[in-house]
Amino acid sequence: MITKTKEGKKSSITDEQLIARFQLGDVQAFDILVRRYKDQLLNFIYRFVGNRSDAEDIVQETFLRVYKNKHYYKEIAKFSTWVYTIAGNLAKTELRRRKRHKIFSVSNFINEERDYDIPDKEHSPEKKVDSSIQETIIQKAIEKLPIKFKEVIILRDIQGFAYEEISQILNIPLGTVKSRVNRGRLKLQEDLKFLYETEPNTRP
Amino acid sequence: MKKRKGLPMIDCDKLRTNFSDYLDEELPIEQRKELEDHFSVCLECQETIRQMKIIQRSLKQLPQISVSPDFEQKLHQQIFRANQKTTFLPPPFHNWKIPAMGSAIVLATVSLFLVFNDSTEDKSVPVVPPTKIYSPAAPQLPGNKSMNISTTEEESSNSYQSSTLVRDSLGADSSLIDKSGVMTVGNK
Repeated sequence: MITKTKEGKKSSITDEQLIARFQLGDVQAFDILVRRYKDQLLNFIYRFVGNRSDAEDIVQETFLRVYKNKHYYKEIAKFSTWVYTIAGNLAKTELRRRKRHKIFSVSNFINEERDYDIPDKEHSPEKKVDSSIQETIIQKAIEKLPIKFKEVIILRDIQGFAYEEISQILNIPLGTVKSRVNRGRLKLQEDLKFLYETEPNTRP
Repeated sequence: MKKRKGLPMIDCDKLRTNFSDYLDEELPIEQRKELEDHFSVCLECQETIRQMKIIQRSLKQLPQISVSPDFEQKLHQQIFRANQKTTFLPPPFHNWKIPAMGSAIVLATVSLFLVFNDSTEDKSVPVVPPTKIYSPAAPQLPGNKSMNISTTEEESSNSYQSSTLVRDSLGADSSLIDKSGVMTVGNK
């Protein structure tokens, strides 16, 4: 994957070597893996479920499962693939649970937000506020995506994974990944075009 | 996709399947050129791909969040609790060794007491060395019970006869005359 923590870049020990050491009983190796992946996983899950507290709980549960099931990891896959698969499955379970308990309703936030007056950035003294609003709108648009599009968009466009690794994490064919990324991007563009639309006479 | 003059709708829908590969620069040159030719005449597709580029850039620039400072501490606590559940027995069996050892000691003490008590309380047994030598393989128990551990039925019979109560002749109800003729009188 493209995104790596600073610690991950500095260390010469690979994730796979660390999990192998942990499988032999070296708990410090587990701690290093936690430090390498905790923030990456948090961002992945946060974009998935849209709630920071829930996201952190899911990351905790992910590492707990890694700890308890360390012997299930086989070196045929990358450690990142394995840990993201666990985290992704937990996130999907959480979304299904919310749907079941009806505590999560797919809001019409995007349509409502169309009433927002998005100021022209070039002339606004409050760029920071605008950026925050935009971020919120983008996050809502991501949450509104169907799960199968959401997971590939987060992994590809936010987390920077290669298509091949996404295919392994989600256990779906490479062609399906590419197709879903394309449809997900088009869906996002459709939902967010009000943010980026230009007047016809200003188009190049 | 709206139909535009001179541009059949099917072209836009078909070409849209390649938009992602175009953005990722993974499209072969021929297809890339075909798309760019299309963009030059289809303003709607041109606008769509422009917005898709911006959105892709925006997604990459979304602010990153970090876990709370006590994340690792909480994780270690969870791991500790999980280990406790799997490593230790449920509460009723936590310290099973202590009550087991206590019970064994009490049982042994009571057994010893009963055996000891049995051999000393029977005062009617004469303090006379045994005239019979019993098999070492069958150790003799103290008291009258020992009479039943004789090696032969005949010996047992003799012992029984010799230990007859002589209440009538001597007027004592606890006197015994053993095989060798020694009389013992109990304190009862």
